[in-house]
Amino acid sequence: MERSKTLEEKYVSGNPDNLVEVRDLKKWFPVQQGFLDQFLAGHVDYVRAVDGVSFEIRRGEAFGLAGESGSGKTTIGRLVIGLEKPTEGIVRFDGIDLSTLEAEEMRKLRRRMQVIFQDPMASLNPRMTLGDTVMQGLKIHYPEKTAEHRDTAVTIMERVGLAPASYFFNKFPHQISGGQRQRVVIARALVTAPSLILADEPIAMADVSVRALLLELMVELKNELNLTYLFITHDLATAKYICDRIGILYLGKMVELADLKEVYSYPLHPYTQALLAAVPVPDPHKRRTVVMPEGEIPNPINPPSGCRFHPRCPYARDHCKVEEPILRELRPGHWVACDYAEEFLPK
Amino acid sequence: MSETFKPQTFDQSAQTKQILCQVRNLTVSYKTRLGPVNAVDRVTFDIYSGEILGLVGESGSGKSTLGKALMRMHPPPTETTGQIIFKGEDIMKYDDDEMRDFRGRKVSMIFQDPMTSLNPVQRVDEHVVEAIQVHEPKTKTANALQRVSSLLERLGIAKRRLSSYPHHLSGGMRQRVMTGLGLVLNANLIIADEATTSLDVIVEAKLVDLLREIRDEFNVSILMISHNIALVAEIADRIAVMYAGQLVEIGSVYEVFDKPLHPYTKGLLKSIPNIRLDEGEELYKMPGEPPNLTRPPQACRFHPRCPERTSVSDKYEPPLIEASPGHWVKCWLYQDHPEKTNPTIKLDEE
Repeated sequence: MERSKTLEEKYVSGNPDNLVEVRDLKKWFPVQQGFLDQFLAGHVDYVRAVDGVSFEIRRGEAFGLAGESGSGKTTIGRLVIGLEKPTEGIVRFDGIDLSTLEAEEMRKLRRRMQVIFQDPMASLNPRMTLGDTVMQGLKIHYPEKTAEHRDTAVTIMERVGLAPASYFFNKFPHQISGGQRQRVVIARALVTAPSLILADEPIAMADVSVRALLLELMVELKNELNLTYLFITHDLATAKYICDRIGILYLGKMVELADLKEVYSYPLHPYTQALLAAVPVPDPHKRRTVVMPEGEIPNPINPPSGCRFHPRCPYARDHCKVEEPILRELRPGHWVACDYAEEFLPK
Repeated sequence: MSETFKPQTFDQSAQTKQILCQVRNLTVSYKTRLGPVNAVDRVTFDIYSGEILGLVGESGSGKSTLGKALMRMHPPPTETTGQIIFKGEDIMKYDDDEMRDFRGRKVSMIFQDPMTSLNPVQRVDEHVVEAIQVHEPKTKTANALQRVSSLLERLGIAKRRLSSYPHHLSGGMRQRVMTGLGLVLNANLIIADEATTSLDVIVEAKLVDLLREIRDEFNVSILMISHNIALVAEIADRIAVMYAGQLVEIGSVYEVFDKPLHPYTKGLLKSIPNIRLDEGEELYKMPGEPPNLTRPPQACRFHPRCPERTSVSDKYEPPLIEASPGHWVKCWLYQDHPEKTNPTIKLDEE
């Protein structure tokens, strides 16, 4: 079978247009087991949370990573900002290989990468005022400029919609609403003027009527402050409103990668097709008619041979059980890891 | 205002559909340090036999509290008042024994998190056999097992899985076991409280298919409580919308989605992310956030956020009225308010 160039071959060296480059990233977590079990088995089992993933995030774009639980999307996020060390592979941030950095250098680089987590109540310290929470990053990264901290914090708080900041500054997380809490988390992330924001399910907890406002805020901030987003989500409908490009993950592998509109219009991987079809449409006239694939996402300790989706794939053939498909570019900028994806190309 | 509400046959088409459960003026009041909080406030609606009724609302709207109140699962000091007429009997008058029989045999519940609602040290078959024997003590274990395996097989759980413990099963499988527990006593009503929320989207879609099949096969009614309105659009026959403890709109799912009446419903439907590229390019941004129920807004509870509020919305509370056959709404836009000088003349219909 003729293969087009793989992603690795195409980007051998760093490209200045990319803020983040991830090459063949692997993260295997050892499974906790008793000494005797390990001795008898003669080896240690690993959860292959991320198993050879490559992608790049261009400057100023919102890059989405989507997948079901256990697909490795959160682990990739943590690897990209250096919260975890990869088992194998390279993460390059602004051309710098993160694995070469000393702890102190990493800490300095952190001001340029900030995180927004899913649950604002759990990620805010209940005993710290909102003002202190927002200023915390400044205290750590710019201890010499103490005098300016308050002004910087107030400006950013008012920008994210916590106005007047004087009203919120001395309040505690439990005194404000859920939507406001998420704004505090956004303000805290922006206060060190980062280039990259890792947003891990940032609005999954918010109610529908609040969600639209938070999404709009995130899009506005991105354009205004020239931010780059790594947006991690299981919700493909929400991703549509923020992401420019999207990668679909299945069991630690990237199965499809392209512009969001391209993926949603012409999904080339059978898994992506199923995933998109499963998302309910808020219109009772357009109920789903497609039959869902069998089974559930398998155990990542012992993933299926060949193509990892083959046991659930309605189009699987013998070839798929043996040969692991390589991510290849089938349409301009549209990468897919399925050896039979040509069959799904638009005619 | 509550005095303007007249109990009546709730739905014009009720003659054709059989009513399973009538809920009238149901109020659930939690005692808090800040005084009583009516998490569910004078809610009135019907559930028909064999229908899937979607109950939607945001967090804090009272939808889960309502679901539990239907099984009288709020122990004192929480106060539940109003009427729940189930198959012609007022279950609010039941004593503890009758109530125990009612729960499980007439109404059963599927909860959000199957891991915390299944006993971790009990096998799947033990769960279901126990459920049968609690309600039908004379049933022999062997007979119960027979019933269990054929039912669970129908739900897509293989026979060999019966001796598994909950942690052996995947999330979707656990939720199927929960569904089986709900069905095994032939309950008339299954309350699914965010039953699919912790599941991945493909597994969720399959459970939705299963619930629909169950309804068709066993003719049970399903009250589907969910914050996911798109999911309710996928499965429900009728939809009820709650806001700040009150029912603000109820009607056929097609009617409510095609022609929403209440301004809250209108805003809600426009703010749901839609995966289709050609639709919902811009999400509607509803101003404000849901109110705190310790001090709910006066009169119409939605008026501080309402783009269509009338001159009286902050003075009088609108009653729930039937704006078109089977489509009820709690809003002054569709009825004469007390300060209106020239009321609409109503034609006497033949």
